[in-house]
Amino acid sequence: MLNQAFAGTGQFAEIRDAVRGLCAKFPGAYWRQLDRERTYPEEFVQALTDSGFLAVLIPEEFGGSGLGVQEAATILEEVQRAACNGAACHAQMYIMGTLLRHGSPEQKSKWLPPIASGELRLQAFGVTEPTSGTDTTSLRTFAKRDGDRYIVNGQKLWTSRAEHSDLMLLLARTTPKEEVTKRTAGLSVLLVDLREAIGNGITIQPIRTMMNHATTEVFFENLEVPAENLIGEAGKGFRYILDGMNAERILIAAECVGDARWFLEKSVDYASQRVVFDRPIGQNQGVQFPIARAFAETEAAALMVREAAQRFDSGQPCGKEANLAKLLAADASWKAAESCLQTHGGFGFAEEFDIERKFRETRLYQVAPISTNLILSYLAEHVLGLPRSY
Amino acid sequence: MQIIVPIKQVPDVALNIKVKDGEIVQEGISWVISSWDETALEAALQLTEEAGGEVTVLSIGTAKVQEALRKALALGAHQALHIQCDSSAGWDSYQVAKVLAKTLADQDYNLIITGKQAQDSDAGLTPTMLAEFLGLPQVTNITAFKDVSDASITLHRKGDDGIEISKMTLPGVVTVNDSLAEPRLASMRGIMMAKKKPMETVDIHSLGLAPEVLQSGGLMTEVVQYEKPDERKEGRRFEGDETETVPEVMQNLKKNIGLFA
Ligand SMILES: Cc1cc2nc3c(=O)[nH]c(=O)nc-3n(C[C@H](O)[C@H](O)[C@H](O)COP(=O)(O)OP(=O)(O)OC[C@H]3O[C@@H](n4cnc5c(N)ncnc54)[C@H](O)[C@@H]3O)c2cc1C
Repeated sequence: MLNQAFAGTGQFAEIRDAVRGLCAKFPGAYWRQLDRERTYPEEFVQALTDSGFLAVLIPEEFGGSGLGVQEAATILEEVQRAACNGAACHAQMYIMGTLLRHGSPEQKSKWLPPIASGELRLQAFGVTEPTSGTDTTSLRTFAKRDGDRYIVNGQKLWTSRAEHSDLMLLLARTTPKEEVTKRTAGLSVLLVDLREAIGNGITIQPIRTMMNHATTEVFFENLEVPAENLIGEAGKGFRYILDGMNAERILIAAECVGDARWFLEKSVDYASQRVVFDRPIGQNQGVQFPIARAFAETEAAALMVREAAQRFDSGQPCGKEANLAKLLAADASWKAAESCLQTHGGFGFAEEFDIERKFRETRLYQVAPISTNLILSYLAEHVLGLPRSY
Repeated sequence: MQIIVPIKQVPDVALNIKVKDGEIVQEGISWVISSWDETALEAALQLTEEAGGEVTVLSIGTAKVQEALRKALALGAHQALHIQCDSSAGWDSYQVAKVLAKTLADQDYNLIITGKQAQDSDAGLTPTMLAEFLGLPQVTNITAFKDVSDASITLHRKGDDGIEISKMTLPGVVTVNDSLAEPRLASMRGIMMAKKKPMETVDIHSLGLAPEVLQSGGLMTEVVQYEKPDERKEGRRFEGDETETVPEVMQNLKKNIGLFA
């Protein structure tokens, strides 16, 4: 039963409504089955693609809807709120942003229309590496220019959805770190066609994680990438990637708000119904307060998500807001998850309630795509002007 | 083929609807298209996809019903007509049918398709009255369409013992059963296109209706008050081997309900 307190604002009602309708076709049982087998939600992703929801940010001239991050955030929030898992495909919305903003006209007209139609999936993003971790500029995967191609060697870790993607956006070094004046220089972005690359220089190994996430490690051994697949200028890749991060943060934050609202609704329903010592457990303040607190934090986070998305869409700087939104929303969803599990007592651990699954899924956002600590470091340094800590 | 689909915006029954002092609490209600009307729209869309033509959706109400019309446009309707009024709360089927009949009197259409009843009032009277006021034939509770042309249509109705097949001359009124088709979902593209489709608003007072038709509350019938039914107690499932569960069920019926005592 939907509770209006968790329904979100009336904005974009028609989008919310349509996403809800679609998600209703993918109930908990569908996700539990996939979770057990660690299989990819192919039908769900296809349905979202067919309905055009993953192409909202692609301009109309390339076959998308040409809408903003506010609409995209609304879609992902509703997906999570319906207990579906947007992590299977959320990156399709924003990875293409780098191509859109920094790609050449030829690259855009070649790749964006099939991405918009769903014919090609661009949802693998190779940044993180085993040895560099959060310290992105220390990454070691190297792309050496050789005539009209690049030869790539190295390894990426946690490259999610690589097995379910046709294209990968890859961040690699093209000038050795020792030869650049700034550590952020000398990195480049390449668009890798995985359809050709797998078995020809790329090996993908799935990594089993605590939730169903289709994440992998990717090995590059003399992979040849045509030089025409270089996005923007060589050496400026780090800036291009940073550029896209605000959108990513806002969208992940919106997913967390959706998760939080799902947990809160479950908590309120159960706390009102479950009778122990002859009264609903929700009559006890010890049960009420964690739920009410998580609700307050969720509403505050939702406002910050909205603010960040509005700024993004109107072209204003939004680094502060996007980071705040991600931090607050990930914290709110985690708090809501925790109070939901606690409210349900033993039942929360039973698979059929979906709580333990969502609990595992939402925990990720304290760590990825950026960990909470690193957001705090960003705020301290770039917003508050404190000395850089790392 | 020109098809008119009158749609009603109703409270979402998936939400917990509250009743206070005999009235439905309006706060917190979320409004949706009545589900049978969604089936009617689906049927109309399928018919025009097959036979060509256009679907016009029509709704009476405050500016709020434009949300429902917009959704219908997103689903594929070609244009919308909004009959604007201050409030249609409490109107009975007779009043609604009168307004619809007046609105449709000078429109061009082959078919009017409606849900077999509305999800909130469950009365199912409006379409029949509408057919009567317009002097049109009507077939209710349709489960399938066949052999569509601008002049006639073959209709299937499901009865207890089989299917009744009738041929109706057009124009006419048809009401649909929800087993006819599963309503489609709005796509992002549909939502975008809906913003560009025509929606005409007509002031109800400009229709030239007799003043009593527009009086607040019902004209022929009046809802005195609403009551919420007692909540149903949760059922109990007996699972396992029937050699054990059947005696257990029997035992329970005897003990708790006094059956077979
Ligand atoms: C399921 C999953 C999917 C992922 N998908 C992708 C993907 O598709 N593409 C991709 O490129 N990456 C992906 N990632 C990687 C993710 O972005 C990283 O895990 C994340 O950025 C943290 O990096 P790390 O794991 O190397 O942690 P580390 O950098 O090793 O950090 C470990 C811990 O130390 C803390 N820490 C590190 N440095 C500091 C500091 N200076 N101050 C305070 N605390 C610090 C961190 O906050 C963290 O808690 C994914 C990760 C997971 C788990």
